[in-house]
Amino acid sequence: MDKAVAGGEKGNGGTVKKTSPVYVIGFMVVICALCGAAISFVQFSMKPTLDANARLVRNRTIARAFGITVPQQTAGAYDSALALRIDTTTVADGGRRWQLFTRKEAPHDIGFIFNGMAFWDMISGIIVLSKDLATIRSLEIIEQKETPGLGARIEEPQFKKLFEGFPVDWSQPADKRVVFGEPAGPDGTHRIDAITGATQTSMALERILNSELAAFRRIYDHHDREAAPQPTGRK
Amino acid sequence: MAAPKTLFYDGFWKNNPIFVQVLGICSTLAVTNLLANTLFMCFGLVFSTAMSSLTISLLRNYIPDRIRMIVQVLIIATFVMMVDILIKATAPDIHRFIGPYVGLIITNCIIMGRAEAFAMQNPPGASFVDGIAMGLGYSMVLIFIAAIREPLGFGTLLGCKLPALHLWWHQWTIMVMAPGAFFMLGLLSWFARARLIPKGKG
Repeated sequence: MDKAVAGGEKGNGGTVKKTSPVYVIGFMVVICALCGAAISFVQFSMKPTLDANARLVRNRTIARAFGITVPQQTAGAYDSALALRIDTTTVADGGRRWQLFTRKEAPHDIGFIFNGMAFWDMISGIIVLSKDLATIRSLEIIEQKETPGLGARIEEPQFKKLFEGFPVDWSQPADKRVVFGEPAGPDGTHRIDAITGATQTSMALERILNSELAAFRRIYDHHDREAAPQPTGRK
Repeated sequence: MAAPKTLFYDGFWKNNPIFVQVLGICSTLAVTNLLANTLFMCFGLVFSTAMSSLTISLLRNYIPDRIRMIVQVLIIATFVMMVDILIKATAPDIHRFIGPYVGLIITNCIIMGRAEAFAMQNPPGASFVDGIAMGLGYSMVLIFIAAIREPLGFGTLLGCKLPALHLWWHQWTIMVMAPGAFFMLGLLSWFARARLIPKGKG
């Protein structure tokens, strides 16, 4: 085979020249098809495991956001724990389906999954608010692909801790309820320390949180949900 | 053609990709603060280097010269994506931390360098051995650094707490961060190049 191609390169014996555009294009088409098929095969073979892992990560993050401890680290254990302690409601709003989570027992915290485009890729996470929507109880990240060591630090406990007990002032404009960096008012409340060296990720997260909080509040107020607790804050 | 033993010695030690060729430094700094992360990264790199060298060598007489680097990257990317999927399926928590670096194996200088410098000129068997040796040479250094950084930074080894921590251990925060790897790598490279690795003539 090697000799035939070597001969072909010289144009002898009727074989195709390796330098000819037809050979180059044909080779690329074949190699791309083979590589694509190999990756598709591996992805397809692993799909059930990948789906189970994604469900585990999602449910574990929701459990963590609500402070629910699950002894067994399996997808089934988290499914059972969430079914036992969290009410899940799906609300359609435009083209989007919101999943709202309410803790069954007191203090009946409310959570929702947020999504948005950050610096490199989509970020998704969960925000848990107090029953009156006045305070953020916790924020957890389900998935992010920001720069490791910089933007990816939004997953670090010390950053997420900044949101615990964070007051949401619904009287502020929709883009000023959560402010990263500069204080929104003289008292410095409603602001979160941005991550040094990750300005774009910080700005993106600020935008995502404000926009998702506003959208959540809108659907929360306008959709009839069974046994929905009534918020006390202003729009 | 050199014997497999010589090829292995060259790749693993004499021309070690990190100590001697100074390749693959980015991931050396990034994924060595926890040994478990390091082991998965090393698996990914050994697999990708060996398989891409083997494949490129098998195809070397059919790859048109003018697009050879595109084809090499394509083949390397295929194996890296396979590894990425495998790690994501088998160790999702570790994948969350090292996922970005696994993707960056595609651009790792070691793989591309061996593909271009060795696999394109040598038969498949030798290329496979070269890929394995280079991957293991890289892994040896990373594992050594991680085995020092993790105990000093976290007080653990492979996630297990070391004994009697309260008696002797104080956290070296710098070992958790990239500068810790810089210092470790610098010291190791200096020692290996000055004392251990045989110097070439001329």
